[in-house]
Amino acid sequence: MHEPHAPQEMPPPAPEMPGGVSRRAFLTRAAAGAGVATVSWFWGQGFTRPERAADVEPTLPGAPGKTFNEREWRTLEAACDRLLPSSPGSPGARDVNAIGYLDAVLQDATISRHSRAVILDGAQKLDARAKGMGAAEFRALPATKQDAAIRVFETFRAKDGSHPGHVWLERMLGYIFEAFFGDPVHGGNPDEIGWTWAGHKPGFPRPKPSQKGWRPTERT
Amino acid sequence: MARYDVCVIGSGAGGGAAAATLAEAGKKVLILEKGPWFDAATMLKDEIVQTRRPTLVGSTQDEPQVHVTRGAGVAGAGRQTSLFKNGSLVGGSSNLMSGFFPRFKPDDFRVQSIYGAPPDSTVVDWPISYDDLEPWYTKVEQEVGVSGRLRRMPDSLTDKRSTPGFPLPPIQEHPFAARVDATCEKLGLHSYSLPRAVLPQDYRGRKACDYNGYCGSYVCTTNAKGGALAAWIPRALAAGAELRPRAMVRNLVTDASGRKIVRAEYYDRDGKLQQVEARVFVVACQAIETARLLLGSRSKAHPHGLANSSGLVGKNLIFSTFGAGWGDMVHKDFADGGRSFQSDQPFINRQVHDYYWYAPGAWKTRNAGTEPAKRGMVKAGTLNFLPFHPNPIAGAELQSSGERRSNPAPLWGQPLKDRLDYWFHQQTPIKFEIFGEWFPGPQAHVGLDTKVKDTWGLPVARIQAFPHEWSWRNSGFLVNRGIEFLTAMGAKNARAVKSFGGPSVNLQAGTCRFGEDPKTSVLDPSCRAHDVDNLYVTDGSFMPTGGSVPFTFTIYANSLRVANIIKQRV
Repeated sequence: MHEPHAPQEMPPPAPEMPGGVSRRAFLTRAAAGAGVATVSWFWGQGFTRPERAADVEPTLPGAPGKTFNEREWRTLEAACDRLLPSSPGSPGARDVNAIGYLDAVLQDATISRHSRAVILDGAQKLDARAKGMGAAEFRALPATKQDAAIRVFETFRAKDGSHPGHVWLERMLGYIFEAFFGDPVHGGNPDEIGWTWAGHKPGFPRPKPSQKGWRPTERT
Repeated sequence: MARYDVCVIGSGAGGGAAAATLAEAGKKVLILEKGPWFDAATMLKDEIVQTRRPTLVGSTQDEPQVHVTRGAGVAGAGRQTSLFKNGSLVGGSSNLMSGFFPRFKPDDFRVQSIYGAPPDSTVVDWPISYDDLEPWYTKVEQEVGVSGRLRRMPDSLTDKRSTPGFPLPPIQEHPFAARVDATCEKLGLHSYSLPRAVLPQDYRGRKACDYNGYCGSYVCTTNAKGGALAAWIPRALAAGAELRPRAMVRNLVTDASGRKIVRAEYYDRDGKLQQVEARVFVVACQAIETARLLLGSRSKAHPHGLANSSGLVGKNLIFSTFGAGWGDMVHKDFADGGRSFQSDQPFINRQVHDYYWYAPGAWKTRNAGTEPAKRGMVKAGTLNFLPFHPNPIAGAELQSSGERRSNPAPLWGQPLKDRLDYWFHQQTPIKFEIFGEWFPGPQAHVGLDTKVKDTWGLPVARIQAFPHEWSWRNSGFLVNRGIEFLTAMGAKNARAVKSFGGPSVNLQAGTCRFGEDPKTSVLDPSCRAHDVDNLYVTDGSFMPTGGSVPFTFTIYANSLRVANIIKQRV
C-alpha cells in the first residue's frame, strides 16, 4: 500500500488507515486485555451467513456476516480469487481464507469506516459491471470476464482525477496479504501456508494459538 | 511546596534518560506519558498488531496531525495523518528503533562556520562543541550497552573518542557485511563498522539479543535493544520515580510573572483533568509534539505560547534527509545459488561515511556568493546497509504497489503472483538508507492547526516539512552513490524509492533550538528555556542541525548532560 519512506532506524509510520478506534473502545479493550475475535475461520462450507441487518446487536467483532451480506460475500470472494489466484504449488487468496479474514477484519475497531466503504463500493461496482456484461452478478462471469470487469474498474478515472479502483485494489490486496502472511491467530494463513510458501521465518516470540486476535496487555 | 522535584513529560529517549538520571540522584520524579504502558516481554512479534494497526502510535482519528503538502493548495488546507507519529507508548519511539548508534562528528556542531549556511537556510552552529558532549556519549555507551568494533579509518572519518573501544563486542552480522567490506575496498571507500545499541550478551540486568528476526519497528522482548523502555524506565522506577501512562498533558501553567511553571495539567486515562506541581519541568514529547505543547500553553505572560518570545518555537524543524533504495541479489547469478547470503541475521552493521562531505561538482549552487567554505565542500551524509525488513506483508505490498513506476495501478492476478515468486524465491534484497544533512529553513516548521482538534479537544500540530533545495540535492547525490554501491556489490535492478529527498519522518528535531541569544533561540545552552526558569527540553528539539546519522544516541547523551545540570539545582 505504501512505499517505505522512512529509514529503519525507527519504525515506518503505520499505514494510513485514517480511522481509528475511539479512545474509550481502545481503553476498554486494552484494559480488559480481552482478545478480540477478528477471525471467522470456523465458517464451514455449508454455513448460511445471515443477510446484514441493521438491527443486529453489536456483538463480538468477526461474528458471521457482520460486514458482508451474501451477495457481497460471493462477489468479493470471487474478486479475491482473481486478485491472487491459486495455482498448483502456489497458494492464493482462497487457500488463506482471504474472504473470511476480510469480512472479520473490517469489524476491527481500528479499521476505518472509510476502508469498509471502499471495499463494499468496489463489490457494487463489479456487480454492476457484470450486469452490463450480461451476468446476474460478478461471480457468475467466467474468470477472463471477471478480470476484464476488474480492469474496467481499475482504469476508471473519476471526474476529480482520482482512481477509486486503485484505492479499492490497494485495500483489498493489503487485507489479502494480511490473510496470506499474517500470524494465523488473526484468521488467515492456515497452517502457516503463506509463510511456508514464501520461506519466511516469522519473528518470535509469537502469539500462542489460543491468543486469537490478541492485543498487548497494558500495565497501569 | 511542590510535590515533585521534577515532572518529566514524555517517557521516550529524551525523557527516559533524564528521568533515570534524576531519580538515581535521589530526586522525586514523576513521568507523565500520553501512551500506554506495555510490558516488553508480552510484546509478541506480530506484524499486523505492531506495525499495521495503531497499537503503538495512537489512531489517526483520535490523535491526528495535519500535514501541509504541496498539493494542498490554499492556506488552511492539509491532510490529517499519522505520518509523523512514531511511537505513543512508554519508552516512546526509541523502543521501535534499530539501534544505530554512531556519534555526531565534531564538524556537525559547527556546520555554519565550516561549510557556510546555504542561501535561504537558517543553519547556525551549536552553542556547545563535540568535546562538551563527548563524556556523555561515552557514558551512554556504558550505561545503555553499545556494541561495536573500531576499524582503521582515515583520520577525518575516525570517531574522536576518549575511550579505546566499546563496552561490548559487535553483535552477530549478516553475511552481507563481508560483501559490503569487499565492495568498499573495490570502490576505494571505507567500511565503517556501525556501533549498535543492541546487546550481544547479558548486560546490567538486561538479556542478550536472541536474534528473533523482527527488530526495527518492534518492541524488543528481551530488552537487548536499548530503547527507553528497556534501558532507562526500569532504572527510573527502581530509583523511586513514578510513571503515569495514559496521561495527556494539555498545558503548562506559569505564575503571574511567567518565569516559573507552577503546574502541568493533564487528562488521565478516564479523560479526567488532573494537575501536578513540580519544581522543574522537563518536556520531551518528540520535536513536533513538544512544540505543540509549548505553543498550546498560552497565557497572559506568554501570549504566543510558552517560552516563545523569540517566535521560534516550532520553527527550524529538521529531520534527517530521507533516501533509500535496494537491489536484488539474484540467486542464479552466484556460483553457490546465493546460499552463502540467504540468512535470517537481522544486522549488517556497516555504513559508508566517505560522503559526510563532498565537493558539489554535480550541481551548482544558486548563489555563488555563498559557496560552502570548507575547501569547497558541502555537508552531505552517510549510507547505511541493511537486510530488507523481514515483514512479509509489507514486502508483498511493496511488490503490488510500492515499486510501481509508470503504471500507477497495483499489480494483481498472475503478474502479481510472478512478482511475489521472484521477490520471495529468486533473490535476496540488499537495502541502503541514507542519513543526509537536512538544512533548516523557513520551508519546514510546526504550528497549531486552527480547525482540527484531537480527542481531548486540543488543537493538533500543523506540519510543513519541505526540504531545502540543498537537502534535496544531497539526498539525490547520496542515493546515486547507494545505487552505484549495490550495483558494484553484484545486485541487479538497484533502485531508489521515489520519495527520496523528503523528511525521514521518524527523526525529528530542531523546533526549540538552543543558543546563547534569547532572540535567536528558544533554549539556552543548558537546554533551559530562555523565558522560563524551570523549563527544560531534552528531546531532539534543541538541535539546530542534525548531523548525518540517526539522532537517538545524541538525544540520550544530551539528556544525560542536561539532567546533570538539573540535578545541581533541585
